[in-house]
Amino acid sequence: MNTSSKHLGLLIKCAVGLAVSTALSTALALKVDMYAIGNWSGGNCAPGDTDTNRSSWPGMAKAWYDRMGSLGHARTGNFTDGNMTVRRFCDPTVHASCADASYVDWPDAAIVAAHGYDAGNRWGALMRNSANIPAASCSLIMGNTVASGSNMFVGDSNLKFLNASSCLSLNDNYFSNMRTAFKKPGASRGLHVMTGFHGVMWISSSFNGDYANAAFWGHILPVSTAWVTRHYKSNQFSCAGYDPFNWFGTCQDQCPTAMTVGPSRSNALSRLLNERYNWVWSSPSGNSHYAWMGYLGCDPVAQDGFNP
Amino acid sequence: MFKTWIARAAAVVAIAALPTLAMAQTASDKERLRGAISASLASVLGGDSARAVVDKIATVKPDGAISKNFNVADMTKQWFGPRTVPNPAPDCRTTQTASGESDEGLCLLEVGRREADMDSSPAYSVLAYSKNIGIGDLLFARRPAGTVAPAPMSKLSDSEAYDKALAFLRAAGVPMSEVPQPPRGFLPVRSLAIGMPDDKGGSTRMTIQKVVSLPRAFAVSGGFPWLKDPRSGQVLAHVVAPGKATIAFNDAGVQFASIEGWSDAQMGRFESKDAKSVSELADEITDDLWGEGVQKVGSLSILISLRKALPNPDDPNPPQCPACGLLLPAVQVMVAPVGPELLKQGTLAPPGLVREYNLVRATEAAPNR
Repeated sequence: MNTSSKHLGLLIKCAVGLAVSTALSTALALKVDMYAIGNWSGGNCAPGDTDTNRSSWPGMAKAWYDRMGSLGHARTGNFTDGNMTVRRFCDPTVHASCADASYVDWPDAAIVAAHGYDAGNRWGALMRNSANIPAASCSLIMGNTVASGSNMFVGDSNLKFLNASSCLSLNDNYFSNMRTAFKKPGASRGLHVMTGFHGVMWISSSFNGDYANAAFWGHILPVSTAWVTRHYKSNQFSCAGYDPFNWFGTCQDQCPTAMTVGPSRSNALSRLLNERYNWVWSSPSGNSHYAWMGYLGCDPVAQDGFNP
Repeated sequence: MFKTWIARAAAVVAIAALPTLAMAQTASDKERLRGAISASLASVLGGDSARAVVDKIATVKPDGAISKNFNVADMTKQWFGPRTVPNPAPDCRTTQTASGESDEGLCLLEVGRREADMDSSPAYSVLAYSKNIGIGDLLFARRPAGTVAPAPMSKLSDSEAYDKALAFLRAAGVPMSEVPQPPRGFLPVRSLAIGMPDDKGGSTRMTIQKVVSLPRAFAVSGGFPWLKDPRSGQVLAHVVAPGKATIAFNDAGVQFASIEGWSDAQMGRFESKDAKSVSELADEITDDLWGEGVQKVGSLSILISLRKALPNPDDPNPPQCPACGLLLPAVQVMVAPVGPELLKQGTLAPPGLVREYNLVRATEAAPNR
């Protein structure tokens, strides 16, 4: 552990003080959307490629969406398969045809389910259909600047909570780059909390309850804690037949993560540890700092152990 | 197989921006998938059929039940304190739905207010448990009033967290015989941490919770002798069962706990003559995974397990547990197209899939639903 105790003490004092000025808004019904792809083979980004299809995936996102609805929020958009293009995720500063303000940046909270990849220390996700967007016609790319090829900047319109049900969506090597996607330059508003996965995530209809529970517990615990607690799966994957409990070290994990930004470290940290779906804070006033949450050493398929 | 998807964008970011995609699938891909599944099944089942596993599982006799030991008054006193009376949700008294079905929902006992005020958040604690406790769900969480400040843990060791987690399960009525005891040196405990970069280019991080993850399993007499750790020679002596528990602590005690699906389901009826062959299973699993889009195996894990199935006329729910279902021998199959090696940047990572398959054929009397 790398803890600097002097630094830590100061941070804790600051976090308490800043919270009062940051926490201004509260329990109002949120608008919630879901964006999920389960079938890629029918689109033109992976045409005919049934290897990419995952029919159970939209059901997991819908479990979160429906539970948010049952908790009093307004379900404002179920976008599943169809003409899912990057236009729904990219910012107009990237290209004139980008329309995130009418889609993912229109609701207060959204979940996005799509194949993910590490697009150079940032999140890339494969769309179903292509759009005429330079550099990445089939991918949303979140993290870093427009000049570097990123196209997703959210929160400047309305989005506050973004949940990514996508492999490699919030790896431990992304945090610094993701910071910029939380707050478009010059925007008064920004994204409050993002959740995702370090490494490969897993799909099963039996995991629908985890998504519903992440929605429910995000009203009692911080959205960050609710997500990581409900999606953490310890030593359940890739186990040898003789080692179902990882007693002999053959298993791997599912590793959920979360992050926030702020004008100071303590501000970002306080948001991470407090903001809930029913305790919505005012927009982050800066993104020069960030804070993350995850399970140290969590060892997923396709990535090293979580160690930011 | 994933096909290389070459983009010709002029932008300097093209390499980072474009994922590697799957190659066109062929019949030989399906044969390769079947071959991998078949080889893994033969190894896990110890032969060319599931008969040996089914015979072993037939000896399992669950000797406890959460419904026998769960005491809501004790739990309430323990988790809310002796002088606090929580507010039960109005529907806590009903264990049946309006149509007379068993109510599979939760009873919520709350202290404090879940919603926040304009500028503050009240303290709140909740204990939720299955109205028909035999279903085996129990959840507990608490949060303090106001804004939570980072509280680095300093007191609780991993072994103390583990012991406290076992005590929590015991208090909740979980039969301890269903919690497999790990060998010395292994503790299913991990640290939940928060962090941020510091001024010197490094990072500051702190552990805010110790999280204990406990699986459910039943002891199998004599174990499965063909499944043993090659280094220690230790034979697998448990079968994985539905149900899991997660308990998170900070220095102040339990902050969150969930016991999920730890039901009182009893063993269903099955006979070894109905055990499926490896060939049958390999066909069934291959067809199912292929239909789900799995064509390449990077990581494949097959575990012997018990699956919770619906009751049937010959094997109904017992009166004391009207929504419990049955336990049947099965395998859990976890497959991911990518393997344990690190993925290169720009390579697409399709998620892994988790599925379950019965080891015995459905019969008219036991349709395996």
